[in-house]
Amino acid sequence: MDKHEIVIEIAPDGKITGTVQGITGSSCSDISKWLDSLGVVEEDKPTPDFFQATKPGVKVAR
Amino acid sequence: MSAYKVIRTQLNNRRTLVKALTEIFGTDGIQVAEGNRITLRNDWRHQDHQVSIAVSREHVRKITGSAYGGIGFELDGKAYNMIVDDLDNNPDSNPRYASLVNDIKQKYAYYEVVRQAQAQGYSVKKETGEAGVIRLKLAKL
Repeated sequence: MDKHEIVIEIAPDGKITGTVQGITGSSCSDISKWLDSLGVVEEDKPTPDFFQATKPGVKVAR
Repeated sequence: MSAYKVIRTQLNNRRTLVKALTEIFGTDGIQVAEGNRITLRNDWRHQDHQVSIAVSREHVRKITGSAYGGIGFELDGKAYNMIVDDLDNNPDSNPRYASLVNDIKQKYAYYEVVRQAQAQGYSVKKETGEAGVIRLKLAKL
């Protein structure tokens, strides 16, 4: 698995924001899946990088 | 950046919740039972509530200065609901109480994120965030 980092911010009211960095493609969904068990997922958005090809020259169909 | 997620924390893990409460109230400040067997008394309203974890009004008062009732945690399925008195949980009349309730939620979230991150094999680096936000950087070694 590619080297990556997850940045977590915990607001004063306990709300958690998680951002996966340094990885592209759908694998970042798998990487952040464990965060779901912390509570109720209110927002789950792929950023533009998510849709980048995981291999050079290969595009993910949308 | 490639994925972004916002999660409303649920108090799912009993050990983590007790750890957070112990840090705030001390070991003698909380009462723990299997199931909702503790009666959380509210002398002001004369309403009692059955809970699984309780903080006495006296221990809440040590932090907030005043309180009508204690704070309880009722086990509801797999998660704990925080039980507080409406009169206490009013940011306008008792900002220190509202701040304490938030402190419990934030400390629980912090310990639970660290616990689960380490179980996933991440190293955890804590940074100072802005306006009371706790910022953590998780990386695989």
